[in-house]
Amino acid sequence: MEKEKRSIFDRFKRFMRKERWNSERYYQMFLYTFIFLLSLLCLYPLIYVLSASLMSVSEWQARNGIFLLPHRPTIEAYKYVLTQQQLYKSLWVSVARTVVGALLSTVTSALTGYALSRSDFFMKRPLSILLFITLIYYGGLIPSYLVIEQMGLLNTFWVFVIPGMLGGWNALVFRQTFQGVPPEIEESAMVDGASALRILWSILLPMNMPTVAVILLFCAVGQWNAWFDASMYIDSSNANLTPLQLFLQHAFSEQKPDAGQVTLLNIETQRMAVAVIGIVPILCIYPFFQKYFTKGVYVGAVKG
Amino acid sequence: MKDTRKFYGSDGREYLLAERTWKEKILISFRKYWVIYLLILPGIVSLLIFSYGPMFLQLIMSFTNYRLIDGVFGSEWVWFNNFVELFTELPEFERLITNTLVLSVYYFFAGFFPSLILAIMLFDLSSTRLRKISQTIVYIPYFFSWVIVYTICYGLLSNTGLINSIIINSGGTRIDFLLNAHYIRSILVVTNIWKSVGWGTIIYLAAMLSIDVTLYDVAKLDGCGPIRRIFVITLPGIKNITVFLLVLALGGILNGGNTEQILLFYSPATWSKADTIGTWMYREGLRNPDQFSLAASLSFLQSTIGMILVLISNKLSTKYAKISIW
Repeated sequence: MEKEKRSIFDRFKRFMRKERWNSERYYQMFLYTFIFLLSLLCLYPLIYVLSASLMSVSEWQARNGIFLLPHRPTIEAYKYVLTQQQLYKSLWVSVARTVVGALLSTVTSALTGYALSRSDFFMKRPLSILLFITLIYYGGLIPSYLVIEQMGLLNTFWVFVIPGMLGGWNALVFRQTFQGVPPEIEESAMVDGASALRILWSILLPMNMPTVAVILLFCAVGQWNAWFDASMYIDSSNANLTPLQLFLQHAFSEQKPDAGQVTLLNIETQRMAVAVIGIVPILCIYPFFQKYFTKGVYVGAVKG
Repeated sequence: MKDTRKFYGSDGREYLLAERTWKEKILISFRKYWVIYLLILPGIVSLLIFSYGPMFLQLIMSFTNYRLIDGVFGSEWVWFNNFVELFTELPEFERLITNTLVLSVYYFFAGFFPSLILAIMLFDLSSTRLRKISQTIVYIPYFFSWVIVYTICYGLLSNTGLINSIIINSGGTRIDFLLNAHYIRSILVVTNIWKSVGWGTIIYLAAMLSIDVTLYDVAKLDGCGPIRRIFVITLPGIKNITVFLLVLALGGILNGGNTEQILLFYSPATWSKADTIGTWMYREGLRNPDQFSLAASLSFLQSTIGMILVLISNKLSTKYAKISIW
């Protein structure tokens, strides 16, 4: 006991020694403080939304928005929200567009990237240029609307999925990734009789998991979070095709000049409950993809 | 392929293999990859229709006087009349241009510097575990939709929100931040930083990992302080990727910030400071078919100047950072 105390004291004394208080330590102290505060700043809004969604309306009004945790958590906001038919319709639309959109987009981009990475693909150069131009030139909101109207996609589910099917950036990233794979691997597979599709599926994709994971995640999160396309191409009265984000946005549009939709969520705690429902799926898949972030994003940015 | 063109037969003589004509090449490539060609066809068709269709329509519409009954192709060809009308007949024109440029510059700085600074800080952090944890946390906001960010902001900034309650408790007067034109730009920029600052560090951190660690040890031995090490080792080490990202950001300098975000955050009270080309296009342009041509010519100008900026900055990047976008 005696000994241990002294050693802690000694360690503290060593820690406090004058020559140890140099610029290195001040710098590290500054970094620790700053990054700790920043992490709080990123976490607090999350806790805020969650706490608010678990409050009763009276508590919400009484506490004037200043709180960390609810005193008496209730699920009354969730209860109300879960009785709304619209929520289930919106969830269904969001899940469907996320699954269909992300898979379709990733598969199309991977296939295109694969074709572009083959030296004996006969349209290699023109197609690369075609994809590249879409990255730096935008056709404009109104012409896009007219095209989608002409193609008969207004007020259909497919408007979420088809126009953005082939992401130029994603395809070019896949091209760069596949080009980095040594050709010997592919040649040996070809000698063994593997088809082009087989090579892509069993060799190139598993070898480049970080890229695949990051692109899949981005497509999925992009679809899940999208509301702008729905607000442009879907009638605001069309409840069957209102994604979750747009449902939440409608709650605020009463203050906007372009209102006109029926507002279902008038109470703050209910909005927060819907927001939580929108956040939870992202937080659930986040840990599985996190290990791929650094590699996938870096490869994509530097080579793409 | 190249070395198979010349080979020695069993008789010991040299034979030359004839160069394949391009027809043969296409035939071979089709035989090998026909499944792939078939599978990528839908994607390419959708690209042509939904990306190139609008580009083409935009080009035509900016030089014609679009009327609903005539359609895009039947409308009268008016040459540059639309562009002249932009300056003379669009009352909001000045406001739109000013806001677009100002917000673009704000977003440019907000998107570029905070991430760089945070990346350096995370990199210099002595504890690896703390770095990992804080990285996990600061990435999270990037995956939230703007609607949810707005929901959070509304909770914090509205008339009855957190910030106003604090102001009242400390004896101040209520400020409706979201409906006040003075604050809207700051709110837009701050929320944008909050959402993307963590994610932006990934690229820099990956680049910093490739810097030789012994450089830091040597510098420490020579008495080089932590701040000086940033400027002498870290920044030069990530120079190329920084210039590259700068170029990408410069290319977006005419976008007028993030239209999707602004549409959620602004309101009639704050139009004077936050109404950009993109939001006007959505609010007014789309509503009124008589203005389609005007709107198309405006976005034509925006896209074209934007593209020229990307090409110029890419030239600069190739020259100074030796990294090109393509």
